[in-house]
Amino acid sequence: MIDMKQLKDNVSSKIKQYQSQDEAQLPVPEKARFTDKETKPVVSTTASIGASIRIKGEVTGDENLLIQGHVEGTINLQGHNVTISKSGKVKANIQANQIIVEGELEGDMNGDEKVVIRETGNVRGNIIAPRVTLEDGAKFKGSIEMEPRAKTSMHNMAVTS
Amino acid sequence: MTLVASYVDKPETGYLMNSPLLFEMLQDLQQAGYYQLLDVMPATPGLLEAFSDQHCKLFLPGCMPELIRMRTSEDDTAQKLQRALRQALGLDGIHNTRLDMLLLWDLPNYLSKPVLSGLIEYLLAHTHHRARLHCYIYTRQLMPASPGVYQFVTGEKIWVEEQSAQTLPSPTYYQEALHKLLAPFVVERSILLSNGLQEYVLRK
Repeated sequence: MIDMKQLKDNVSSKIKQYQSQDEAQLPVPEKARFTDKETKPVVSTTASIGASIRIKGEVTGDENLLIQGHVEGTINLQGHNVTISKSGKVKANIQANQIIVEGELEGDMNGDEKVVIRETGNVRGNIIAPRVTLEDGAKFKGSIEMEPRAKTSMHNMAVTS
Repeated sequence: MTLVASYVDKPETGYLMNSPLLFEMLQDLQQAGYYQLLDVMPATPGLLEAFSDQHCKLFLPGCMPELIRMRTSEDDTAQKLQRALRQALGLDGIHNTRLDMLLLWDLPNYLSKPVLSGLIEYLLAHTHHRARLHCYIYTRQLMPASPGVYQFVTGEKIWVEEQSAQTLPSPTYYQEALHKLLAPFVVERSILLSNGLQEYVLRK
């Protein structure tokens, strides 16, 4: 005769034991996120091009990119972020999610989310992005496609903190 | 917007100026929908902030210093000037350029007449048939030795920083002179501002 209560207790204690073992043995998952357009997880790691590296050609990939060296050609990292650091010198058109420029860029930028030109940035090119930020001291020559992001009109612009 | 606070914190570097015609013109353009605007001043955070709620394309060649340095001699050909202007403004490499508004600020006071006329000739090829031109003309005999820096800081104010304490004689262009220099643009509206600048809006 099977004691149902004892069986239930045994099974649940076994399950708890296995669960705690599994959790301890499983590797910690890498930080992952989902892009707006796709449902596949994208591992948010950052590759970097060192200060002494020079690249000529097409740069593509599935991770963020930090450029400290020289790049000439095209950079296509859709869904990922590109940062040109202070020492970075880029002569290329860039397609990415976020583009941050702290160094020099000669080329067009197409940012799905935003483009930021930091105070040390020097850009010559055209920008298409829903949000564009130019920090005080940043140098920019080119054109910017502006998309309305707020409903306030010119007349409604007021000093607020 | 915290822009105004940061500029007013250092009032010794400049002053706030009304520019009613400029903002009326911007309001008109905004109501019309998408537009394209050229600003010859270097790009600033305030400019982008001011236009962040607009559906427009900003052309920011930052060419004011290069234009000021341009000189012509009798030997120069018109082509030579146009080549220099192409290099400074860089509009030729951009597709679908149809400028609706040209912001020249006080630049016309500082350019030689041939350069100013050449600039207008160059811009005409890139403007909409109903484009407008905005500028300030000094009405007093003396003007600062170099152009001011004008920045959008609030909806209807401009922050002005004069770059030189030295002065030089101003050309004091009147309406007829502007019609000749900026042809085919003609004065649509004009108003005298409290700082002695005459604000002009011209239309093709």
